[in-house]
Amino acid sequence: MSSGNRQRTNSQSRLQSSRRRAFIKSVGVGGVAALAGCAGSNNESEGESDGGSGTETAGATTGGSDSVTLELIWFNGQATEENLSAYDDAIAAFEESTGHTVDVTKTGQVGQIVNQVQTGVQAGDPVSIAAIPAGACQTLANKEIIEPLDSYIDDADTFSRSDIIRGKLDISTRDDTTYAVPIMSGHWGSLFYNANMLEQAGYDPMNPDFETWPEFISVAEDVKEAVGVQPVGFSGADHIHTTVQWSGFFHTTGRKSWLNEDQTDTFLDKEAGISCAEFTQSAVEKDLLPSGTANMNANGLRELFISEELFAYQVGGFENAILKEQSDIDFGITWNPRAPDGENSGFSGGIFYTLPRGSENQDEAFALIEHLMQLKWLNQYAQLPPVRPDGLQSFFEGTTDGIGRDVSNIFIEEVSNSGFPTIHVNQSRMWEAQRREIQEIILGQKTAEEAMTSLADRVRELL
Amino acid sequence: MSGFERQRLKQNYDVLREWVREYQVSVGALFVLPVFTIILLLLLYPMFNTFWLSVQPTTGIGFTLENYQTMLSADWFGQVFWNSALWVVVGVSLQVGVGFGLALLLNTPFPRQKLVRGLYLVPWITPTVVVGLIFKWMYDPQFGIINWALRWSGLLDSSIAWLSNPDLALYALIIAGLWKRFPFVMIMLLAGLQDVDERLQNAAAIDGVPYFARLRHVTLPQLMPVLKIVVLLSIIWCFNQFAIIFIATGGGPIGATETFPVKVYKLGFQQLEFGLSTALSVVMLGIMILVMIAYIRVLRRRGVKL
Repeated sequence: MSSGNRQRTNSQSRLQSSRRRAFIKSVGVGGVAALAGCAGSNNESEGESDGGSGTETAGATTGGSDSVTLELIWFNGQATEENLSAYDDAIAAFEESTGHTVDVTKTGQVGQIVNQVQTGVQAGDPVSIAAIPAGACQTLANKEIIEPLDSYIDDADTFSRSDIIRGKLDISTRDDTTYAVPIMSGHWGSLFYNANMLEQAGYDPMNPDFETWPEFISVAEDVKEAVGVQPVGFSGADHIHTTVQWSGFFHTTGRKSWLNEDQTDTFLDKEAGISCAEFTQSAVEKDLLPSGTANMNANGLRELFISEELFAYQVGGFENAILKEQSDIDFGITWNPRAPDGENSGFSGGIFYTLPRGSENQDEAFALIEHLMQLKWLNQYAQLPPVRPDGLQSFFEGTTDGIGRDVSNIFIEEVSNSGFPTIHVNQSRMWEAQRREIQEIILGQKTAEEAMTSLADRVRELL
Repeated sequence: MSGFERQRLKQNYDVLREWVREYQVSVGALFVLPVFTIILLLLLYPMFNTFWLSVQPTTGIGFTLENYQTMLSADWFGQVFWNSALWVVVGVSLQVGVGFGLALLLNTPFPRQKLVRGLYLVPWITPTVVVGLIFKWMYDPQFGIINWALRWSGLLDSSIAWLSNPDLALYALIIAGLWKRFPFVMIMLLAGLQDVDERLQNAAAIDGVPYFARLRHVTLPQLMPVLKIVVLLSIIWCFNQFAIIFIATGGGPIGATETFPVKVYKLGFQQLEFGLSTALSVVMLGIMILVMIAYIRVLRRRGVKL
């Protein structure tokens, strides 16, 4: 057999072997879901994981003799055609400059990515790079599913720690070790309001002057009286929106986390937590929330807003394009109402690059991450605000709301100054407990103080 | 094919036939064997993998019952168990009751009988996810047709937040499950009713046996072979029902509609607690096996063979 034939045969054999492993992995994952009675997809879950769905695999070519094949799982939820095309271009540029081959699997379901990473590591066949959500960083680091990246990050040529928005690297840092590179920010923390309703209530729609929670509640009461709708949209469903939205309000108190710095205590039953919960309670007591709020997430709020049954709700910058596309409402965007004596802020999670534990060709894989973190590529393919401040400027540049005002500074400030509720391995349980307590407040079964005391107790149990 | 090849093929066939005869192997079983093996592997591998994941420690590979301990001591376990029991017992009872009633109705002759029977199958062929969405909209306090109809008819002054009320949400979803599942029960029992011996019915009627007594002592015993399978399948499907609940409420409010499958999904895919999620899956499987064994034993005691 000639060396060329042998090389092709080996290459085919590796490909078949890789496909076999991929098949076994997918059968395993599918089996778990089927056993759990969960076979079949579910669209609501995608909402929790930043939306979008479907997978596709980019084709791969055989590289040169020193080349390697890298497998990358990329999150494409909320991505536009331009974003996806830019990602393909970035990958092609890397392949061309290095001779390596990159197999990209794109999926809109972050839960599926995390599951695939974990199953791959446990089966001894991890992918080279995976883009995981912020909420999974601590869990996967704790389970030793992802590799520490400090040495790579410190030696990186295309970016440094100081190039990344404050606080982002903290999300993926555990015991002073960084496990993931932030890419883009999932952001919640801007108030979308119906300008006509505000005008009907006697306010200037172009210059909304409600800045603090009490001011916002007061304006909402006036809107209710003038327009006759339940004006305030709070997510209250057992859904991730309820955590991120409430946390968006919480961070305006100046606390960037529910937990203290050394993670030994929580602020939830202190001034910050109780006052934020009282904001929710006051909306309930003044009958400002639409009926059914305890089963409503931001998608439901959007439906109400588009039907002109709602005055205002807090959500992220991505809502701007959706509202413009789906409605012709005159809507304004303003700062997230903040705590009295607080600051402009919001929630921000995001998507992170990781190297699954035990994956092959890690040097080459990180070289690909470095390549993709270059501003010229990041600015094009990031469907959410990029984590680099200079990218943030360009991402939001010229963004206008539904009444034509430039609101880019609102988004930029709130993303830059955002917080993340819990950087802890038990964060998912803490978030679930928070949703339950918020529902108790919305249903009138607990006062703000009772709910926050109960939540703080639960969080302390989990610390 | 050359003569030599034909001869060799015949020899091979003779050897195989001799082997089948000698070992008394069922030829039918041989034909089924490849498919059976594939199905068995596809069933066994995920089951084994689920169990294996459920006994793995948080880090590394080993054996631990920590996930089971955490799950059984969790404050949500009791509520999930109770919700699931209510969902299955009330849900299956209603499905069988409504399905049986409609089967009796559709078994009596009336104009356009076939068309009506066909229309009743619409819920059954509607995808479960769609059913979840339809009922979520129907129950909506602002736009839902149920609240609108109740207000329009004067029965209500203001809307009821069916899915946001922890006391109502599960029952509201049981109605959605009933709508989805009753056609299956109805069509199966209708088929069974058409096999009921009319001579026995007529004899009982001539003897003056009232309608409900005839139903109890003549119709039901003859329906038992179908009914027992229908109940068995309804319990399994109801217990494993996920999409309707998850789409409509996501398990809320305050966990009021959280059943086993919903909790498994949330633990595994939202909270990334794969160990707990798989442990709960194994418990689900165990509960289902126990229920099936109990069901079969009860039937056997009553002289019904499954």
